[in-house]
Amino acid sequence: MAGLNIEDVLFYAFGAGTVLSAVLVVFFANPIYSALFLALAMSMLGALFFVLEAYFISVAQITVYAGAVMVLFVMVLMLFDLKNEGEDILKVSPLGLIKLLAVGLLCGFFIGTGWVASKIPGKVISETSMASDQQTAINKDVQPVDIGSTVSLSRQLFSKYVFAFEAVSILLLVAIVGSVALARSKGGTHHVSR
Amino acid sequence: MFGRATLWIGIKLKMGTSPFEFLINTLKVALIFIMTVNIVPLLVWVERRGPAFMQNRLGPNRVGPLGLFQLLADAVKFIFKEEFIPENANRVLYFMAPGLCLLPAALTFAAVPLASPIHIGDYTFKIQIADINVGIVYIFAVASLGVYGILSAGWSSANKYSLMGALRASSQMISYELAMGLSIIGILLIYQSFSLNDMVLAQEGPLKFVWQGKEIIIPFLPNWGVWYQPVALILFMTAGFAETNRLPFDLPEGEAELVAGYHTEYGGFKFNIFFMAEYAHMITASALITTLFFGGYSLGFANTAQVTQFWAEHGQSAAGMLGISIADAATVLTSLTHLAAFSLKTGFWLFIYIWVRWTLPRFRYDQLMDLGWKTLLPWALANVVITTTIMFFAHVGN
Repeated sequence: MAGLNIEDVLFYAFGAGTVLSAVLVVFFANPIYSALFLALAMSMLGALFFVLEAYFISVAQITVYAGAVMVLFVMVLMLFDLKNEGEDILKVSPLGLIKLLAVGLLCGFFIGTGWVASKIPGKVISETSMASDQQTAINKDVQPVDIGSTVSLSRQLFSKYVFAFEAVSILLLVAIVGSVALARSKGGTHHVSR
Repeated sequence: MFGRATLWIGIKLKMGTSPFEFLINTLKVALIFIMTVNIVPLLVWVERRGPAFMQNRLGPNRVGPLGLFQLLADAVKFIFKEEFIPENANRVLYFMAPGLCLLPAALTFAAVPLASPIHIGDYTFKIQIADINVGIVYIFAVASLGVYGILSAGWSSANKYSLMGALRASSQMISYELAMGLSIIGILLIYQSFSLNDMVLAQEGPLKFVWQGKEIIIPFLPNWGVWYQPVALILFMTAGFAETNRLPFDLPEGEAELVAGYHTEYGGFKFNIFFMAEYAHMITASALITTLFFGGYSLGFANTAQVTQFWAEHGQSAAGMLGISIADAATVLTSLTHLAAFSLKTGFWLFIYIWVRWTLPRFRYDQLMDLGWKTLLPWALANVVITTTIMFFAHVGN
């Protein structure tokens, strides 16, 4: 079975696509192109999850980020029709120096992470959270292959992680109420006339 | 060794070991896509002749029998029209937008099961491009990407009417996606699955459910989702009209105010692609209504085993013609029967879509938003609460 494994081909293709579109987000001067490439990067990430057989995470990723969050971004950007930020990154000013420093720091961070990761034996990564979750799974009928299915996911969510799950939902509720309150307060987008 | 292998999109299989599976899957993708795209001209014909009949006029009836060749003439016209690009257009996005519109619309159809699987020898052929275990969520996810095509078209045309149309379209789609997603929660609770195949199998045979430990069978009704979730059907259908940008919710292209909305500046084949995308959305929406509420490809009263049994007794001539065993031929004939049933049901809902277009007037924008947020959304939430309560009491005796 030494033949070319199409899973690997797709994984690396989508991985390269994700990285490339993420890089293009930064390099485009036009904010609309940046936003569109960010949406593409999100979709590619969804495709990566799909190749890894985590179907639910994959479609949730696409719905939430590419289908909802980024659509609003793109919509607002198109409505305002921002002009190109054709500013040279090496313009001689203190700001340019800070930019250059930031880029250097980021590059150093990437190289450092890569160097640290290469020191760790490969096995450690594959044996972390997933495997231990399987061993402590409450339902014994959950097969290891089943880890990406919605059944095992929801069983974990509503048993082991139920507190975190509910805490996050309260956090989201607070955020929603807060944003409505901010929008309706004086000086917001709407005047409270009623 | 290939036996009962999951034959789908190619992600699961190793190219080196089985080029046959790869070939079959590629063929399936091509065939189903071409089928979907080729229903579009037929639907256009129905859309022109049907309402003409309803409104007591003739419609296009000169070219060919019943005016059917008008479609070919239109296709030729679309291809040979002069290409016009607005001067201030953003050319990259302007050319990309029709594709961005058609791609998600065509991709959604991949998860819809069209018929029962065919068994020949050791092979199982699924009449579906991708049997994803979260099929319904996949369709919603990919459909939500359709907004990008419309937004890019509207913005890149450098025309205020296009931009207004695009903004209307995207806000409308985002608003109604919520109601649409919530409306099917009840259905998901009842079938306890995200997989469209599981849902179809759950709807086979006569109406049958368990109430407090007792099994109740109503023999004169098919086991369709619509009996369990009638409110969800109305909500889903209404949201479907808004999602496909069809009348009475076609504000994005309301010609009285916006010329033609986001595709004002498009002509020729590029306009045709927008048209195809709209109809592909319509086909998927109809196929989803069929699958969720009307038993999908199943025949209503007879389940797959019974249909296969029938064809095993009556299908000798077909088996002789194909040169395969009678058991294999029975699965082929069953699959064809199911495909016919699916096409009929989907065709019926497509006709409803066209019928409604020529019946209801267009909504005003604030009415549209009120309907989405203040009517459909609360009803969908109420439907979820009521369904969970009833489900709880139904399982009390278990």
